[in-house]
Amino acid sequence: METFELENNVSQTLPRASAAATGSVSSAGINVDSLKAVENHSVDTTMLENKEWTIEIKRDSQRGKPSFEATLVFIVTTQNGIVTGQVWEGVDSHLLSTVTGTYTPLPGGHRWSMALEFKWGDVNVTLSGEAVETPATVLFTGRYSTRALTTPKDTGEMLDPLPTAPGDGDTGTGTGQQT
Amino acid sequence: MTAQRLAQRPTIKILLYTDDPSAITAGKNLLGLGSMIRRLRAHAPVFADLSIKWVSRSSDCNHHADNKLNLVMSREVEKTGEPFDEIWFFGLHQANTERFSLGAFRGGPESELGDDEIDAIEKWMKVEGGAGGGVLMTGDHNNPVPPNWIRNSQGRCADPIEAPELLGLGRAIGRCVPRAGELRKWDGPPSANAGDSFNTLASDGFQTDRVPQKLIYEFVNADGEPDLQGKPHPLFFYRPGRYIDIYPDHRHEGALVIPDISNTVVWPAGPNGQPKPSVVAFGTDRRAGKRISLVTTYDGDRAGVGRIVADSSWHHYVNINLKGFPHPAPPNSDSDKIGQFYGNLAIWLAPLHKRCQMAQAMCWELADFTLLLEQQGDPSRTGEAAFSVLGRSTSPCEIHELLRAVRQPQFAQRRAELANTEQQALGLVLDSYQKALIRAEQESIPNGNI
Repeated sequence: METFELENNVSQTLPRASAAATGSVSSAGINVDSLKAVENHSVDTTMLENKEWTIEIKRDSQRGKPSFEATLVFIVTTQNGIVTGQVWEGVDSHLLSTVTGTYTPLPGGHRWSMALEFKWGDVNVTLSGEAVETPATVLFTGRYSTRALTTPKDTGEMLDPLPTAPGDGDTGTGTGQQT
Repeated sequence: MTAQRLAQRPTIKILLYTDDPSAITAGKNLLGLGSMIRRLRAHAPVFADLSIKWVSRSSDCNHHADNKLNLVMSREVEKTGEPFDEIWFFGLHQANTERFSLGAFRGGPESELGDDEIDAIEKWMKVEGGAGGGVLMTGDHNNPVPPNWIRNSQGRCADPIEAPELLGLGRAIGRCVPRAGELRKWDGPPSANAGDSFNTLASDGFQTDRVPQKLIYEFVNADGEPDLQGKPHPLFFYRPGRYIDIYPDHRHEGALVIPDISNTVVWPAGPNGQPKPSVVAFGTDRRAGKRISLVTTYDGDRAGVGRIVADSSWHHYVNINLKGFPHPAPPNSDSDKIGQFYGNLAIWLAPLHKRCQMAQAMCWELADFTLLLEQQGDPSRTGEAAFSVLGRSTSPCEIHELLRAVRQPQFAQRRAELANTEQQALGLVLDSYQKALIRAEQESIPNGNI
């Protein structure tokens, strides 16, 4: 017989992303220019930093649709609050597309708003939320939405056919950490 | 008395002890242990049951250090009548800090073990009669000191340095565990910075991908100490003659160290010498191309204390690093090898008296089975048949550890001293068990009914 017990009632204590703090995840996408102006905090955002994020994507449950989960790895550079880089499917190491976005400080000094936009199969994905820096790790909690590509995708960016990808209009959560 | 009753299997009780209930959970989140727990269950020993309990030092964001180790251990005895056999440490927090929080500055003023806890675990690791508990000590790379750090200036866990720059993840609950805490480097490099990190990623991919790192073994002798004529450590036994040769990888591992063991109060000696901790597996740092220590073992059996395994990172156990290795998986797959490693850990760290109980269960079951083959009276053939059965049903690590346990004094009287091979020795032990079984059967039949 095998037994397993959890001694504690675990509560998720990470702060939830607030729409006001993190920008919109609407189909309008991210307005990078408007966020460039957010530099009135004491945190130095001018330094060029290389970051790797591992973020788990989970589609909101929808009647008639199977569950959808994926692990994405973002290899990005951040400077002056602007994020550029690449996003990969992390298990099979498929390059999905380039990434653009913003990474801007929130009041308090250790919380950041992060918003990323990238292509995944036939959709554009906007992922935004809040990153919390701790001495141990940097944690991200956010949400994503998708919309169909309005222009034919640049197939040159895709290394291999994708086994799975979200569909148009999907929404869900994105949680993860800097790795 | 039936063989079934005699062969009652013990339960190996494992405590997974963490300090961050929202990061290192027992669930599915990236740093959770859920995937490891499922694999461990799937590779449970044949001759013992497993009981696995996850406990966080702080229950939630409103309760700091309400599950101190001494309390968790004593509560377990009160509740079940039996102590834990093993404690696997998966700490995240670095040190004591001013105020308790699970927000930006995680931890609190009682993040580090107190004297009562250290006393309790020291006693638990050194119980008479081979009952000393086993410890898996993990952590991760070292990070900058938290800004609200409080230097621990009193008691058994007082900080040895004034102004460290980097402190290890997992240091708060790991550093002061007797012996085990000395096997990791809790301050200074390596950190997560590219310039001083230990990067074992096996490819240009990620820790989430399907490509594991390759292990480099240190060959060891029967006592687990380096020996060029030896074999890989039993922790890496996979199938007969084959070994677990891969391991999850990580971009910034922590560091293991071999401490000074001249203080025999801390590192005791037994009649057959002083056991020494030894690195038994290495990985390769991609940055410098150098070997780095991944797994250290300490076999306290000879000194009457519990065994220890120290690992360079808990990333070798958490969901994010296991994503590329779907479970369940077929034999010989990387995923199955990783699962077998966890199963081997549970067996190897079990206290000696538990391994002896497992060996006893094994002997009764094998004696009962081989009795049906009508080979009693021929220990050599009994041993051969028993080995054949074991080889098909039981992992090489479990066979190895239980046959070692059979050499303990309680078995010695049943074993001919002149047996040349383990097979012969097992055959002789089983022969005596079979005779006992036959006697028990005869005694249970009332006179006149024969």
